[in-house]
Amino acid sequence: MAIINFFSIIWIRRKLFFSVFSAALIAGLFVSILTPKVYEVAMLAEVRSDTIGPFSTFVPWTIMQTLESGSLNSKIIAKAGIGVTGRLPKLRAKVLHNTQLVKLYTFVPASEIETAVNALLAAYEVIRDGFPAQSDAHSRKVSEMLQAANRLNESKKNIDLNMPGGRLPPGTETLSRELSDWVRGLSEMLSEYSELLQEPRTRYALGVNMVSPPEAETTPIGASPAQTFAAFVLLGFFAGCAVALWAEDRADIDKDGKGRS
Amino acid sequence: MLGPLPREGLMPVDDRKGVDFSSFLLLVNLGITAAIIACFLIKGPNDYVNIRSFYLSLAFSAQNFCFLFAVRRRPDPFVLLMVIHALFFYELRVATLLWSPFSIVFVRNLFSAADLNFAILFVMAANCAIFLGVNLFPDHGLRPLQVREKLSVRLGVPVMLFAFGVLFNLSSVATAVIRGYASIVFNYEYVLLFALVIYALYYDSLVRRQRILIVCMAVFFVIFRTAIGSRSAILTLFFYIVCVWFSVRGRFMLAKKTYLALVAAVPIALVLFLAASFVRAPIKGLQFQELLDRLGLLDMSAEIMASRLQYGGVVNVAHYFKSVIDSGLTPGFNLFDAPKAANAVSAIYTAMPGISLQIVRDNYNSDMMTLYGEACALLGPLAGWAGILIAAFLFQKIYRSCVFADTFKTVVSRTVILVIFHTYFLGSFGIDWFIVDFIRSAAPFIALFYLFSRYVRRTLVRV
Repeated sequence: MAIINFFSIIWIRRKLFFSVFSAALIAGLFVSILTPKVYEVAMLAEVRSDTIGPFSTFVPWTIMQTLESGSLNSKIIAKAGIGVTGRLPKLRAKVLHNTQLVKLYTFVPASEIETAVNALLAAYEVIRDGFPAQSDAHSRKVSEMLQAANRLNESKKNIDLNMPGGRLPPGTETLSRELSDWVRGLSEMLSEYSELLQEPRTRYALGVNMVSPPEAETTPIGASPAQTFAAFVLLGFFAGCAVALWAEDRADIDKDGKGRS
Repeated sequence: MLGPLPREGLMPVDDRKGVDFSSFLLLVNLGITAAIIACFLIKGPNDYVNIRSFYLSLAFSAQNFCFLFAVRRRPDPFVLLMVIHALFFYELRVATLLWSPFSIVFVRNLFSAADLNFAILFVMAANCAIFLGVNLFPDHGLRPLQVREKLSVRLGVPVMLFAFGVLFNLSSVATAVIRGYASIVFNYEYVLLFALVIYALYYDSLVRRQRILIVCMAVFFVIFRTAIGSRSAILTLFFYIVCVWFSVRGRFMLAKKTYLALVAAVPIALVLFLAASFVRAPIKGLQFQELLDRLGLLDMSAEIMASRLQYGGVVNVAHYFKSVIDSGLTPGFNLFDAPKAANAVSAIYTAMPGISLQIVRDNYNSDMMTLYGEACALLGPLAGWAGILIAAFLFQKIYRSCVFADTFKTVVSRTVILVIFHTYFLGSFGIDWFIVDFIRSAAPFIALFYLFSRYVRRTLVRV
């Protein structure tokens, strides 16, 4: 059977196999002993924008990407009071599916939980202060503009339906001037509306509420020492097999006296 | 011994000029491993990939190295197909999940890094089972079957059938019902598969324009499939070529230049994928995340495994039996009102009230379960592992038993075994899906099988 041949190669190259396997075991032992227990510190924030829509996930995604890009790190460090010797943990964010809830989280060892809590609080404040705040007056203006634009759109549909080809019925020429003025008014309003939409306080104005404050999990997450060691056993076994097969391959090529691709 | 036996017996002398595909995959595996390490160091762990996932994915990578070295010494189509899947759809997904921790599959139900770790472990164990299953045979290698003598090869009927198949798939030509039946009778994918077999088997006998014609069929297949919204056309063609090549040559070797072309084809495949996604849903625009979701068979396996108790309502033998009766054996009427499991899964995770054929028709969606997800959900982890081992053994047994006096028949039947292994086994949509497809396709396929074996290659050229 082919599988017996496979194992016979491993047996022939057993020294190589066991040296790789042992190296992986030793590495696994060190990693599982030396790796500190890691805890998740997480907080939940609600991010919403009335101007974009109460159910839009655009703003939470913007927050998530901004935080993960690291561009706010210097501000967060300053706000959290992390000194020169301190280290800002890698902050992550996740938008909970189909909601406006953003989970801000990080994984740290027990000794860094306090720093992580401060960093998350600081991140929350930096986001709240860094983006334009929602203003009721501005939101109302955008909302009114949006309604006006919708009404104009409806009117345009009616005109298109009632005047095929844009021609006025005979005897209604006096209406033409009035209509022209009206259309000019419309285009000015639409242009103002589109400018309003481009403003940062329309696109990015948001309200952030803290749903739950930063808190560390009581049980460590990630791999237990036994699990880590088991993963290294697997790694060592397959790496040992791969190296043994590779060595046999090289030996065959040398024996043949010619290269094989 | 693995070493001395196969090299002389397996390949024709001229094939030594090429580079074995497994050597290329060794480099790919190295690249993916480096990507996983880099992504972990740069991005750190997240909700779906923790430090244990990282260690396990390194072990998974070592396993793939091991299989690749083994398959380089003793070429085996099943192991090679399995490793291709493992590299591009499972191992690479760990890197992309580290880079962008979002998956449309993981939000269906509760999912954590522990679930992903279990999935990686099960995939590793299952791949060992496949490796073991296909290697429980005497080590006499697979001989190349390429026909070297000059023959006269005819391509008129295959080209005509391919054209009919494409034509009947156009919505402007036929109604949905006619298209459904026509796609069974004039299945242009089968015809393309036969054409590729002809190309590889009778390469020396084909005249230049015949070779160009078959290449044109392949290119047209990719363009047509993409145009109708299929996102895996180029990938399907690639796997067909691997299967055909292995059946004919006994191993998959390519020239160095071809590997460069393959690497260059990756961006083309990405563009085609995005284009096909756009054809499907123009309103959504081009979304790169969709590509990551589609490549992530790991996501589908892991999610099915993690929520296997929920999906147990449709992933079970009784439901398979009912869905096969309704979808494959009762034309025009239904006995159990049971949709295929892959169609019913979405009704479970979207919490639809009841599962019926009507609900599936109204909200059509098919979810790939993959071999690993289905085995774990259907039989449980241990029995699932044993089931995979037995299935892999049977695939190899049948593959090696496919020997006919006519080389064409041998190659076609072996190619079909490999295509089934890749399409219905590794990328499983459920056993019921396979049985229904088998029932529908068996008769037309056998007809084509005998038609082509008699028609394509005849008279010896007298020089």
